[in-house]
Amino acid sequence: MGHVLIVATTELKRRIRSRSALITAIVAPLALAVVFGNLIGGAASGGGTFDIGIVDAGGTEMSGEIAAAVLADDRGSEAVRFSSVAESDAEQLVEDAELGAAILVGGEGEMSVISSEERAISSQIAEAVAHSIAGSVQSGGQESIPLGSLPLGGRELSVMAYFGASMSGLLLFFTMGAGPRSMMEDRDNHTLSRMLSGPVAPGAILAGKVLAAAALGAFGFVVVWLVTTVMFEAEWGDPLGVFVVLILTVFAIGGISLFVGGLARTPQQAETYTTVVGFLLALLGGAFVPPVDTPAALRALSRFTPNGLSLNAFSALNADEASLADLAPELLALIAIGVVFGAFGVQTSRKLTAA
Amino acid sequence: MTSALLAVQDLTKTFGARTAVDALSFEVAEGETFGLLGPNGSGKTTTISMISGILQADAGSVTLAGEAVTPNARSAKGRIGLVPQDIALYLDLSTRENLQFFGRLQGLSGDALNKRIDEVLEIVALADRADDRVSDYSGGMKRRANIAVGMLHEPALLILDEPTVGVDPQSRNQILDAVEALGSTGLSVIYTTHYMEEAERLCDRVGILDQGTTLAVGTQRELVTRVGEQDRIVVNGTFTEETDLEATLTGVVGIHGVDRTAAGVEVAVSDARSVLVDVLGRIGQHGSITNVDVTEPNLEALFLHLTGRALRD
Repeated sequence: MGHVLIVATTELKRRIRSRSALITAIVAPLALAVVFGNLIGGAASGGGTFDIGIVDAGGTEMSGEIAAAVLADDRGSEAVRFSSVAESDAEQLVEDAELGAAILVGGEGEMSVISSEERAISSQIAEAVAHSIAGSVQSGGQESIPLGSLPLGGRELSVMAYFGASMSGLLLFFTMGAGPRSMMEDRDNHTLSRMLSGPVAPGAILAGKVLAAAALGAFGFVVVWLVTTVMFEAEWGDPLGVFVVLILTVFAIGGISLFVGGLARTPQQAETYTTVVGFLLALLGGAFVPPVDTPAALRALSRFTPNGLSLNAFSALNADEASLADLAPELLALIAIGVVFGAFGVQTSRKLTAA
Repeated sequence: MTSALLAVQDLTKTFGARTAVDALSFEVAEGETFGLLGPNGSGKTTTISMISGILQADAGSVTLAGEAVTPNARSAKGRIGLVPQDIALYLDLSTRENLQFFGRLQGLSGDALNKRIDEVLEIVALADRADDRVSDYSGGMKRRANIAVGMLHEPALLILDEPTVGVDPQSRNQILDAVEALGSTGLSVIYTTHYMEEAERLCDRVGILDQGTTLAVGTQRELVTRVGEQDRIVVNGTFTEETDLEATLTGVVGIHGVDRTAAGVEVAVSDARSVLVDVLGRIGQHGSITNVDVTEPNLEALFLHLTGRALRD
């Protein structure tokens, strides 16, 4: 363990001194989270809340009941607010961005949405609500109006927390990928040979590199968590739960990064592999577009990515106030990914220290 | 030779179809500076990679004070200091930081480490630049810092792989001085080079390496004698023509021949150093000496003799 810590502390010193590591681990995810958070927040009517107007366009008993039911639904969240709007005002209110979108309820319960291209997310929310109301009407009840399954995970979800987590997860590939890359650089600049000529086990060198990358990655993630919480009032949920999910996300992505990096022969190749795999898994996992807004197949696929599992766990923490026990499937899956890919990664990295 | 610290026996390493080191054997005594001489590609670096436990031999053995040296033999590896041919330092750290890092890996810590760091910095003449980043150093300074790391943990055997490649003459002299000083402390040293003059200056014994195998091992004089080369004493001056210089030198041990030249006389002897004063005294009685030069057969000539090729071909 002594050699692991010696390698890790020196690696950390070098990487902190090289400011690019701090940019990748902290500045970039924070900046991306703020940009994405504000983009999405800007799509809402303000303050991260989506204002949707409900119009009793049909004027019938049925349309009136449906509109009233939506407006009275106490499961409405702070993220999505419904208000009654006259049909004559709806279009102008949407155009003036007073409303994100408006749902027109027809006389027979049919739905249509007034929306603006500039506020895509609000439009999607309105479409989703309209679709679910129609489903509810067809099923003869209103219980299934899914105000709890709207985009962005469909919950009362902090946009900034979501993108803080998603961007941190994306950038983790680059931070963690530096572990095997650093081994290759040490091989190329002969410091690896020098270490191996001493009383140091090859595994200790690799472990030290990975530990340093993980520490930096976790630290960056924690900084994003704290900054978005303090400065942007993002609500991530129970701190213990957030910390556990964060650490296991680092663990899982670390395992994949070690495996992918270990497949490469040069640091440049490792960086390319990590970039491709990182973006692919982040995209599939909903880092850029929340899974609920994607086709069902992609939604299913996201559950097999560390990013998707992580985001789902974070969403459950901040939207559903889930406990760690509730998150057991996601947490176990993240552990499994880290263990399996990490084990393969150790094997693929062995060629670097082969005598 | 005193007791062997390092014994290399039938060491063999192949890479694919190419045999880099072929049944190589030699020993290094305690306190001895042993030179491994050979041209580029002769197997020097592969040999020292196996001796220092970085590379696993395909066959043969390396023992240090009776303990086998392999990639997993941490105890034995801890008694070897390696100075690789390439600069094996973190360029973004200072020399002191590099020394702290590699020293800790070798098990040093605290005041003992700091004291030893100051010592080696003095030896390699980098004390005043110890806190500068290595990337800011000249090539020669990097080489000296490279050596400092190798000797930091006071190894029983220090291996230097072509430590003067690509350095300026001043740094080269500093490096040679440092190695000479280390040799005089009783440290065993393996010094690989393809500069014959360095081996001649530093090494007690040399092994001539070519195509992965030793062609000859011994002191410079032993090897030169083995191939029949002789010393020459070149005496310039004016001598009476009627004097029979060969007769004058009769009785001097090891005289092989005397030749008159336009500038004076050349005497072929077995060991110029031991008879120089006697030869000059006898010749000086028959004229005036203006200049004396002694040429000893060197390792360059030996390599040429053994391989039919110049060392740097």
